[in-house]
Amino acid sequence: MTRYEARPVSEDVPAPMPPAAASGEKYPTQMVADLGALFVPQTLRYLGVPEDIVFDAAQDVLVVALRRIRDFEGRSTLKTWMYGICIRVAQEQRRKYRNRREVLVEALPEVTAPPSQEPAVEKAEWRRALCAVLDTLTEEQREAFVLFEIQRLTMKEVAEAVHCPLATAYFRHKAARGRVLEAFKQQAAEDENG
Amino acid sequence: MVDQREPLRLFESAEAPVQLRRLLMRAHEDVPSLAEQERLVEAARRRSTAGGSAGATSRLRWAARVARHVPKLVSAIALVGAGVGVGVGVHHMSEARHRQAAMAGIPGMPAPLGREAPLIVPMEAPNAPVEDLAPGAAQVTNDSPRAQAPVRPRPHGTMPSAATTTSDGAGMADRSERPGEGRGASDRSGSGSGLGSGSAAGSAAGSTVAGSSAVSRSAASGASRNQSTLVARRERSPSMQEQERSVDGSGSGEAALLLEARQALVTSPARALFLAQEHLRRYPHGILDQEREALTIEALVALGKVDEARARARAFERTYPASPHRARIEHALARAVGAEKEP
Repeated sequence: MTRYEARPVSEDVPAPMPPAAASGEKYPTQMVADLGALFVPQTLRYLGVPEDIVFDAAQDVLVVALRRIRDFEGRSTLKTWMYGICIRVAQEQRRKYRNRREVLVEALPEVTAPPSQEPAVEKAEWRRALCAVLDTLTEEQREAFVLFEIQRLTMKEVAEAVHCPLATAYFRHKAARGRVLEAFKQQAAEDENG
Repeated sequence: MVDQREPLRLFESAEAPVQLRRLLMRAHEDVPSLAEQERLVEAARRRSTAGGSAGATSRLRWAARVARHVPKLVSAIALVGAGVGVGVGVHHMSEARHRQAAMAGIPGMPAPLGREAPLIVPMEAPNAPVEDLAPGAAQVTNDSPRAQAPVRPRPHGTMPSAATTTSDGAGMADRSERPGEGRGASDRSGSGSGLGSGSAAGSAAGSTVAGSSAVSRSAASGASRNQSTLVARRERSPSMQEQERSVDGSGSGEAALLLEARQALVTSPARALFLAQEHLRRYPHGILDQEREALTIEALVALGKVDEARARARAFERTYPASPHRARIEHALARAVGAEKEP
């Protein structure tokens, strides 16, 4: 006689269906849009999409999600599904940005800001510092690092979102982590030396 | 092996510097403001519902993408077309050259594909019997595998000569297998008057007047003509010389022509001389120069033009000091001297 072990309850189990599922629509579009608006721009920014097109790219992600939500089969969680769209759109935007004819500068020129705008300038400064460190990573390493360290997904969710085996996700994250630490230390040393 | 336990995140790890941990925490909290979120949702909803169904939009987007690549596609097609055009042009040119060569009756030149080019016997000497023209193809093909394909049978049904291949003929066939050998020993730039007179003879033989008149004119050619021919040969561009060689790179056509001349030497020295000059005309930079010159000298001896033969022999000796044909030339000259003394 075969004994079946009870499956342990973990946080990976998808959240219960929202009430709208009974009406034939698993996830209401409003919920999808609200969820996306919360984390999509942030994710795209740290995945390397240039700051001036972050919100345009976020719109693209939400439009794709809203159009395809009917086809969502629930093989992954809604969250990882949307992160997957984010990653693909970010890749596309990075590629487009690389192919632009304009000559791009790596860093924006220094601007003088009135006192009321100082927090925004300071925010732009630390964002730029973090992005400079993340720029040292490969595309795959960056995806694993951003989703795990900034978006704080579990490693299993990271693997689902980037469509890679779990071990690969671990490997990429480990490599990215080492490289980020090294790059940050190097950057700090350069700042100290002036 | 990768440790598959959930790693400690950097923002809570003592391994990371404080500034980096702070940066990561700030990045985690760096979500858009409520107003930004609302604007984003509104714009996305508008876009997702605008423009009809998603399928139509994606088709439009696909069409726009294709339209963006149309100029590249057109230029690629134009490039490919130009390449094919150039290829076809080159093919036609080479075919025309082959046809022209076959019309001129070069024995080693195959007829163009799909049509049989008429074989024209090149300017027969008046006193040469038709049987003398038989190239002895069977003997050549037996000795030289490369000479097998290009030598075509005569159209007027003459059988190959029954005479066995002479040692000289075999030597020619062997040399035709190794195109570089004959040229390697000779210094082309310093060929001197020996080759120069040969060139002059060839230019004389290039005229439509055939037979012994051409022979006598070529034999009487002066030093000035030699010089002018030499200059003309030196002035030829390397590409022209290359073209001349590529007419028959294997040398089998040359070999067949000289074999005819060799076979005609006994029965009709005038024809042999004529064929040697014909060889010079067709293959001014051929690989059987030494054979031709030796044959010319022997033919001159046979015709009784001993002085000219001797002058040519001296030039030959200067040009090809290590030539294996020297013994044969000396033998022919010695025989001529003996014949002079006899009466």
